[in-house]
Amino acid sequence: MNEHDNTFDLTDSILRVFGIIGFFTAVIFGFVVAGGNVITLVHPAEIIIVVGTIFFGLLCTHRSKFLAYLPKAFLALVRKPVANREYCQISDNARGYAAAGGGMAVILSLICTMSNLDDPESVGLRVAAAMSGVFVAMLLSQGLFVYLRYSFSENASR
Amino acid sequence: MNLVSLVWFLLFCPFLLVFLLRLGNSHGHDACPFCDTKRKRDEMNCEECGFEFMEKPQGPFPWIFAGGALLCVLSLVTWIKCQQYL
Ligand SMILES: [Zn+2]
Repeated sequence: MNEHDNTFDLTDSILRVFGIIGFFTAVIFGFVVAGGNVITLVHPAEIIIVVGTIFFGLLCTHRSKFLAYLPKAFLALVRKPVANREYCQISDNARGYAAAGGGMAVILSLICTMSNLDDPESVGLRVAAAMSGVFVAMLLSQGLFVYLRYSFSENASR
Repeated sequence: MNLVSLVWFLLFCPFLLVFLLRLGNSHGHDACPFCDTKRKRDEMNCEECGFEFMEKPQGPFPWIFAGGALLCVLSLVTWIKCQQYL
């Protein structure tokens, strides 16, 4: 299990980074090709809710293990990590918190929209903001945490 | 009509979210994500490695979420039509 501990596989790292960058580029590029403005994807309020839910949810569930996990997770984006059940578990829980954060972002946008219905101009924008929360949650959950969960699993080391 | 479809759209949004998130859960619900051991029904921890599963093997009926997601999209289309954007 520890045989991958100190080996650095250049091809593996290049493919890894290429895959991750490609994944996010494909999504954003497709959005731009469809005529979308990338700025409209960025809604700080939604990002705070989603990312905050994931971060603090994991912090209270796993505490110091989560803090130890953070640098390992960043490192796992560029090189093959050692299989670790704890980190695999944290990545899986992060998926759950991403879903919860996305759900809450939608619900809160719903409340926000409902309480400002007399301003029809802003309704469309608020709905777009709600959708961007779902987008951020999905991108993190499917793009990042499914990848991390697999990278930290024993299956990836076989 | 305008507001009604908007309210329906917002109400069904969570279904769309759950549907989309479940769609991408590549690992199925019958194997441990860490050690790939086949998991038994109603088992919430992996026998081999102790991994805690988040979802039940047979979670809530997936068609409910698929239906909710479809209604969400339909009510969004209705709402946009009411706005005469289309
Ligand atoms: Zn297991």
